[in-house]
Amino acid sequence: MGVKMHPLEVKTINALKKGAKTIEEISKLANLNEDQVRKALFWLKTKEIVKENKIKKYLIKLSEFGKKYLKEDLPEIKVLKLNGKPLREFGEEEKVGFGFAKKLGWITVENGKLKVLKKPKEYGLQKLIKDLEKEKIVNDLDSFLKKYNLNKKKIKERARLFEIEEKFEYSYELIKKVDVKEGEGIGALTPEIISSGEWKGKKFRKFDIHSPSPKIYPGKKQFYRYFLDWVKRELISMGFQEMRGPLIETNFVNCDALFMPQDHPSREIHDIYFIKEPKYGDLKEFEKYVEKVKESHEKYWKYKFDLNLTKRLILRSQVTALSARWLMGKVEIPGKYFAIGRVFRPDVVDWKHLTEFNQIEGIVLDENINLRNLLGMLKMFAEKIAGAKKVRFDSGYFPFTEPSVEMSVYIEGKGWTEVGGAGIFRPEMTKALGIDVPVIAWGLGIDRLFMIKYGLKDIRYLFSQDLNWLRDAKCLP
Amino acid sequence: MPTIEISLEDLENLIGEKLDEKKLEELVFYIKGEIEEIEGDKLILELKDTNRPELWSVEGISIFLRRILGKDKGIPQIKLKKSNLKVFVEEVKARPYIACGIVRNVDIGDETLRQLMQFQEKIHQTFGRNRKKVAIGIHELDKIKFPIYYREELPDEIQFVPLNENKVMNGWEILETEKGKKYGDLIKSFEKWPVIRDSENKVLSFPPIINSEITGHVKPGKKDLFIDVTGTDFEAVNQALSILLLILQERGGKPETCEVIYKDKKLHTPQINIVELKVDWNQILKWIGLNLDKNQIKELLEKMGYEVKGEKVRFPSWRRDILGWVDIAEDLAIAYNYNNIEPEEPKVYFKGGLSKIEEFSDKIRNICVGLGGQEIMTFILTNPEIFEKAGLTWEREVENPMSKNYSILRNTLIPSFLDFLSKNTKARYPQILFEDGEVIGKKTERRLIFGIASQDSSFSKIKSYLEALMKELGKEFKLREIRENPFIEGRVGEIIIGKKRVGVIGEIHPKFLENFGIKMPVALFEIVEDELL
Repeated sequence: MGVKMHPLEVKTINALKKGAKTIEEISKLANLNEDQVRKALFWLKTKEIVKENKIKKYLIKLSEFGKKYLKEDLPEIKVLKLNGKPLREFGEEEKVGFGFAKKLGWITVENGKLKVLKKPKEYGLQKLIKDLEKEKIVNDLDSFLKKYNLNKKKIKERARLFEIEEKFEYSYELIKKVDVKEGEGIGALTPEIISSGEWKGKKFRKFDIHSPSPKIYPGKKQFYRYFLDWVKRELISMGFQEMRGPLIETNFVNCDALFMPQDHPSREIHDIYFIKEPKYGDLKEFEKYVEKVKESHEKYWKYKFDLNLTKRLILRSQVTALSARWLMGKVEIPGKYFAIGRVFRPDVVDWKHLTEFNQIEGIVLDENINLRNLLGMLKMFAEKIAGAKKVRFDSGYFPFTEPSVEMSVYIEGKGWTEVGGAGIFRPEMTKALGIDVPVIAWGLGIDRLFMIKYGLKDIRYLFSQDLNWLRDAKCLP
Repeated sequence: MPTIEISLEDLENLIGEKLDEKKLEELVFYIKGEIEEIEGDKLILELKDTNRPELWSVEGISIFLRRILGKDKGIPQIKLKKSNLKVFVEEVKARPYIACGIVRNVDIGDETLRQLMQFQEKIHQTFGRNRKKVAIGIHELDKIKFPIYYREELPDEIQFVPLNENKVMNGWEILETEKGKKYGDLIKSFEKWPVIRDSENKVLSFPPIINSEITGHVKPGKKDLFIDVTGTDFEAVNQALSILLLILQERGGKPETCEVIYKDKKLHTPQINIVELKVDWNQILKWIGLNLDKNQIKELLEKMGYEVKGEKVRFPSWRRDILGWVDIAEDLAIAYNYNNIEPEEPKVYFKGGLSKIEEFSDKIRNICVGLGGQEIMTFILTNPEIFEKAGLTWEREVENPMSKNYSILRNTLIPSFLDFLSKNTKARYPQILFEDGEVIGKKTERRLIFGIASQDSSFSKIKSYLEALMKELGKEFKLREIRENPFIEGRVGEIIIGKKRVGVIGEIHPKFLENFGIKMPVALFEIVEDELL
């Protein structure tokens, strides 16, 4: 029964029938380039017409060091000319030669001097070196070496002279009897065929539309950034304006302006990375707020505010720092602002923790905003961003909010999970920053939320350095 | 945020009610707690509020939960009597303040002792700033001859048998012990060290290091206890003592004050009084968004340990977490329970939008995807090794890294890019990759790196990509020859717009490719997005 085949397949099968076994041989016999042969063999393998055999072969060649002995004798041969020489006068190479020659039983020592016992007529190792002026590929290393009176063990002892690599050679054979008939008609359509009109009156050969095609990788966004982009668009559609700021902040913006006392356990709610050099920054941008913040700290926390410590430079440890930065003169009232940014905290990196991660924060300022609105806002985020139907509010504690709220959500199939903290900024804090209306603030652990939603078990995947994994990762939602 | 372990049975006895897991989960809401684990009788709780030390003990928790359950209401009172036992205080430079109290007839069982030790530990750690601000010593009263003296002495003069030891040690020797090594820094730099002695001159305590074996070894049984609290902050010291007495009162003890006589004043400690705060109920109700009448407010706040008289809210002075009316507002909302409040979305109209740089980088990223690039994301805090491998230097680093892998701040995206390529030498080529990210040089900058690792990667090829990107952005640029790592000399240029350098483009030199184990030619460009805005 004639099977309609691609011309490449036909030529390949014919070459195999004529006795070609390797890609190289098929290519020569069929007058095709190696890529074409590979393609054809791939199709034929899939159709189970051709079988691929993998043979291990050995490439043996001289190392750079070994090549030296193409022109010279090996040290153990050289040492045979030193009969009678005192051992203590031996140089480096002579000592090496002595060692090998002694093992071979060619020499011994008498009265501290070399004594030659026998001189070999032929030395397999030296012959092997000569024969390897050009590298060789052999099927069976053992039988090849046997010809030189050597074996794998002996070669290992002189490993410095040689380089041996395992190579796989592929050979192919027909396993099904096929009667080939090259399909009639036009194969690949080319611009020449179109312009010349050659196609008129001719049929087009049938292609196997099911045969696999080469894989291509599209340009693609990083899968987690894709999600963060989506979150940003959701927030913008709710009327939030993005806040941005520097990664290196002063203690003033990151902690003190947020009413976190300088010497208080709450400061150790998380640790902070300090910048080595320079150690201190300037507060020119926030000059008019520093005094008020100092006063507020001293009045309510009852300690002496350290004006030096407040200038210490650190890596931003919470995105709430951006809220503080913006509250100091950059916001409108009423206003809705959000930020998604990188923050840094000293921590050991493992499946649950990163030392550099993302946080999302939002604030709403308005004369009439209250706790009820905050809960409403949180519930809306739970639905829109976490896709959660059920939420639970817990009491919490943050030094800069009162009341403080923690939210947990119920995600189908995943159970309850904590997603974030929120609250109304304390007036002691906002007044010092020049804000006279209530400000509700919320922050979601966006990394964890994403992981739970999409079933990632290791947080390090978010920053995956595995290109194959990234290429295959789905961009959601 | 301390975590404590308590016995469920103990808690149930103190509260006077049996509690199942469901009930416990409901109740912890009112004390800002979170259940970490329940196993049989063992309950492990995290207490979130760092300003409510009274809640770090099972006794304190039961005082407040009894009120939530309606078994009690109003201000938790400490029924203090004056003991008239005196404590004379001289100048102690290392830790000037002391407050002392007595509790008579406490039933010290194993569980009570365990909870007492745990409470002390938690106070010392966070609240007491590792014993600097506050350190507590508990003693058997009958072993002490009053009056007692708090003073500072030369290290050699301080000689006694410390708790759990069996020989006399002096100040220096004690500093070599485990506790001495841990807390010695608090007093080492001073010439004289703190000590509490009684009238028989025996040492009660060597604060903040350790108590004496004679007085400080509290054995189980019905006891009269003496408590000393020393530290660098009188308010905190006083608060710690007040709470300890509150706790021991829960265990059946009768608290008494001591008279502490400083050079310039004398007072009976602990100093506890009722604070009265005047509030505006409308302001509070507006803050939390609830409509409650006076009776409802009164009832709810009494559940949280307050007393309400018209516009005045009354609470004990050891509630130092209460700074103003917002704290009352929170406790009112907690008593009502957040989950009973009907959420209402805020009706604030505001125009949403991205920042300029974010919009711009979105545009750039879309073009890069259109050019066939796979986006990658790497860390800003990184390893100096990758910079060294690329022949580049960085500008900023952190003083307290946890590991070398995350110790410097990148000022260019190039090393992370090459590092990424080095980890993917087995993935299919061509690899067309890009990253849009922040770097820290003189200031925070937003940069784009776009590179190709492939058999045919070359300067000419990557230049085509740069031109395509710039055309889409509508930017005209020039190239200017330069010599720079990690590029091949003669195949690298600065990207110039106007007169400013905005980036660099070139082929990577194989000596750097080798450092990274990359066997494919790589060409790339990096541009500073802020300069293009």
